[in-house]
Amino acid sequence: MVDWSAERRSFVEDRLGGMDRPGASARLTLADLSLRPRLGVKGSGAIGWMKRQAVTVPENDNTAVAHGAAMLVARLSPSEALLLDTRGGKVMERLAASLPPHGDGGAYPVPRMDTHAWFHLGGPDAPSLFAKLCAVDLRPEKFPNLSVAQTIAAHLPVIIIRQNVQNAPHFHVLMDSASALYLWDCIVDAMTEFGGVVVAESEAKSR
Amino acid sequence: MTGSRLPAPAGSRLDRTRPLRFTFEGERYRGFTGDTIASALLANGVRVLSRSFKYRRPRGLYAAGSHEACALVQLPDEPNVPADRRPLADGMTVTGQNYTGSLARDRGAWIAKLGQFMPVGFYYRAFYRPRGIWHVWERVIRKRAGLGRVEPTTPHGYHDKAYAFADVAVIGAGPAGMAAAVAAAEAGAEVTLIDENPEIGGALTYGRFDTDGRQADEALKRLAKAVREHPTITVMTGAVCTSIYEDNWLAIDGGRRLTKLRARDVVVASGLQDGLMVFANNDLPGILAATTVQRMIWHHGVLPGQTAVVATQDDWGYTAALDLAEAGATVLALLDTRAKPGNSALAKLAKDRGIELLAGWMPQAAEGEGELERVIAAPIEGALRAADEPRSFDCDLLCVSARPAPAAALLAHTGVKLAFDPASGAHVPAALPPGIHAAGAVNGLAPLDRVIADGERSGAAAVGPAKGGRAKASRKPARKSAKASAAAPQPILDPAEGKAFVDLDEDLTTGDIRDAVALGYQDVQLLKRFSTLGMGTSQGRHANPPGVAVAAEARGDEIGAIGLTTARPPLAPVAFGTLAGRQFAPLRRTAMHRAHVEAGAQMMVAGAWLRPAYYGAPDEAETRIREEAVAVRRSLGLIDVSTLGKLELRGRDAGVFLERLYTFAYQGLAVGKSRYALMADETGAIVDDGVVCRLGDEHFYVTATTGGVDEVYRTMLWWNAQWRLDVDIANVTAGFAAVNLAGPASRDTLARLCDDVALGAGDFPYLGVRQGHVAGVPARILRTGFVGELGYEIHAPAGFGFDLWRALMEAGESFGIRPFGVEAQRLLRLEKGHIIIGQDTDGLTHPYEAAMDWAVSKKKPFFVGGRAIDIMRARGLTRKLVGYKIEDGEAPLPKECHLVIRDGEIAGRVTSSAVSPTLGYPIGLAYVPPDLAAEGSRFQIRADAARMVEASVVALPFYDPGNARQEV
Repeated sequence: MVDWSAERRSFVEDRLGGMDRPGASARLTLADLSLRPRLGVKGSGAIGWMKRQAVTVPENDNTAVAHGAAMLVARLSPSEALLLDTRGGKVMERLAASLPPHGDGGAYPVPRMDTHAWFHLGGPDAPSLFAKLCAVDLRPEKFPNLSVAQTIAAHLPVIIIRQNVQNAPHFHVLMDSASALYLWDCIVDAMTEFGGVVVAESEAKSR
Repeated sequence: MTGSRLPAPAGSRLDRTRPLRFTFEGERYRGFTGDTIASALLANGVRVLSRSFKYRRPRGLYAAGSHEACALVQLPDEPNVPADRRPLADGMTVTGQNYTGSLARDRGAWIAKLGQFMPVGFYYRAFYRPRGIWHVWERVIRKRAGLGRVEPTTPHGYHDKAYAFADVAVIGAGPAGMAAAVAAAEAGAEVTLIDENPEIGGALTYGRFDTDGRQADEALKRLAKAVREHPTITVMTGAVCTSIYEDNWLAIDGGRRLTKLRARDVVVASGLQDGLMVFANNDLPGILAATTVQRMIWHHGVLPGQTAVVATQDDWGYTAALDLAEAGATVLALLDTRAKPGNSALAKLAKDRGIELLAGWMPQAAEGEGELERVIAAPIEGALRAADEPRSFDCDLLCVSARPAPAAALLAHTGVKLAFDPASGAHVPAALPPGIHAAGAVNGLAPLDRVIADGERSGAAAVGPAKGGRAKASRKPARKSAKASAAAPQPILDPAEGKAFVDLDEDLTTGDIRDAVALGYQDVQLLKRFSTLGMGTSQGRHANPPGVAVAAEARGDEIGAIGLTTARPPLAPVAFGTLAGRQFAPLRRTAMHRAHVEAGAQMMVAGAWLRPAYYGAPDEAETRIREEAVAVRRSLGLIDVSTLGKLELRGRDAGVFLERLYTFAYQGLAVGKSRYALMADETGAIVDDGVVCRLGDEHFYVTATTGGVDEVYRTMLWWNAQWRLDVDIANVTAGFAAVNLAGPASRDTLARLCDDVALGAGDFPYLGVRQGHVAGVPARILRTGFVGELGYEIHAPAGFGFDLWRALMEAGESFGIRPFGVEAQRLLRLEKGHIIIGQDTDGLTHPYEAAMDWAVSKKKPFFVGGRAIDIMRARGLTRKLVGYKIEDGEAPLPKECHLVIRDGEIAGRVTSSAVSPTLGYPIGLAYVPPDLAAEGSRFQIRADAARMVEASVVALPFYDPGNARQEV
């Protein structure tokens, strides 16, 4: 046997060298959260399964809700949800372990860790940045906290979730992992106008 | 001297503390920050900006803001720059356009002397005889046609696009637009106010609406303050709304950015556009529209002439005459085409300023050597004829206030029809569609207080009842007949000498329009296309009213009966960079992309993906591809197949679903086994293929082609909705990285990295599927045989793909492992006789034609396309895909799509062709008639240079027919 220890890698690993430390005045930050745990659940029994797991489930499609301090649950349809580990914790691990690949009562796991990359955009200029990429109005007054948009950005299907941090709008952006590098470059190009900076995952968490 | 600077308060846009230097035609000049190119040149006494399109006549600024061709100039890296709108920049190098030699002495100006040989539409009738001569003339004409010069070495500029949103978009920030914006905002709407000028205010910033201009000043202060202070009004200045598309999607050209604004309601408050007074040589530089004169004075502090004549058809010309006189110009005469002035107070004031009023007069001709030197004026006798009592005025400025027309082109984009209003003599908007409103002068309204009131009305109407406004679309407002005196006929004189232009962009004269009508182009749409009336850069802004008037007279008809041509987007010229800038083209990369690049892969685009075509330098491509193929046959190769489509199907009815969707049978497929999957559409045509793996009783993992998976997924969802089975479908294509470890050494290599799956031939046979770990990574392992060797397709979470690749390359190093690309894989699968959907099939190929009858279940009661396939089978084949080889070593290698020829007729085509590195001779797949499909049949292929190549049909597969190598 060859001794080999494989490592999970970010889909934008090639772009993560030389990150900035934003000053307090940074109005736009971009971070890659692709290595944080996340899970998709879908199927006719998905919502019921989550409730049985005591997961807080949003009442309406295209809305999200915080489950405790560590997890964000976004409801994508009547039969699909996306669970994001926003702070780190064991909840996601437990949930993932309790949903086998062949499903449980009509709920099936979707490998969102691998199908989707996860970016974070923060700062007051984030809506202006989205305006350069996306035809949906994501300004704070039009896209309330914990709203979910399943739309197109830079011609790419994306899931955008707004989650306020200290009452300031922040956005989670999830997209096809194979296209992550493409969208990353689009965002970096678009945010130049606003003096946007790429920050480490930990920096995104604290902002 | 012509043109001079005026002190403040003239020149509201100027920052006189910031002088700028620039050159025009090689001469050095100075201007100020806030100047446009045109204003700075006028201030320096330069009136000729360019040469005209057809006759190369010198041209200067006429109607600032009308996007006319006369004001287009050349910058080193940008042609067709509107001199009246482009801000002057320090160090600018500007030249004129459309001349040979110099602007002042154009060596191409001789063309004007041939005018009589170039009647309207001459190019439709000349240059075609004798036959073939067009190709000679075309080069000459193309060289002379067009405006400006593209510099191919110009660096790419950065242009981008952005979306914007508003409840109400107001186009035009003049008095009506500002009033509409404020009214809508006060009713609770989020408003975007758009104007092409650098400031808001429109005509209020330069126009004198009464004797002392107080009314305009007060309105400007009040409305601008309200706009600025309202928190829900966003102002976009320096931005041209070029189009209104469906659902109030507005294209706004801001120079470097195209804003795509979506508004619930749109108020068009675009005001008026300058008219054109038609007389001999009405294009001479030095003839300026009255609004242009006023803009020069009040915006740029430029007095455009020292000695002026003003010709007017309405009261506006009086205000311009007063502005000129008060700015220090000598106004020799004010020619009013009307018999009586409309506003006696203005007339009195003009007289008090010592301006001679000549009522019922108009210019008969302008004269001068390249620029205006004198105006010949005469009293009007009858509708369009001047009497023979001319007077001559030596002057350097002719200020023209011809009847303006509503600037309604944007309304026309929404489908609004313009109807001729005899009272005002202009075409005005008729019924408006829901969500579209017209405000102010564009409705043909005057005076200022009514314009503002109409803006307020439109702004309120644009806000629904939920926000305190009215929900109904605005109605066409009633127009007073107060301007009845302005409804006199268009001031058009047909000169005995000289050219009288109706279209300055296209160099069209009154004679051209009359000739076109005489030739039978009487309908206004045909007239436009034949004569090119209104097809220049200004899109007929000032050309259409006189053009239509001349045509009406030539037809002996009323103007209202003729109609107008259709205005289409864009309103104004849009730079290619604006349209092209920041295009998005998603590109997908596999998790192993970096490893491929580091290994020297030449990447190719496959659908939206980047895939290695082969590894090595392009000039060694053939050798490298062959080496890669040979490595797989002899020992070991590794290819990234992550781009394969991957779908999870789970649920009680997953097997039933697959059975209905694919041609094969799957309900009986054992867990841990895989089976080829062929998908047909309802016409029986093959649309995709892949492999179905059964991972559990109710869990299937299905692969699809790289380019076909999205459609397969959509098809699955569609049928799932139809059949309402208990099955969940997930597209997990990007979620799994996948490789094919292929070759005789693949089992030994995999064994080095995998200890939880028994890999022996008996434990893990061909078409088996196992789940375990490879290099510590959870993996689904498929024993497939696409390339015809012992092989394992390993699917693992994409996040581990890079390390999985590296681990396999390291584990296979002692076996001489080589990464191989798509090109080698194509060779290997051809040797094995496997088809590629889309290459070896087309949109009509059914399974029996493609010799895939083995993949069609004969026992199933139903599958998609099954009935169609049965019918086509019963009818008999018309073609069949066969394998062939070429024995003539000297024959050229056929290419894909080369034709199979029989008796001189097309009998089929080649779909795949290559020299087999394993067999050593050319092989391929081709469609041939059924009677040529038997093994040993011979047929001919027409290769390059029409060389006929003889091929003979051979049994498939070409390589390892007993499958001894892949099923070990």
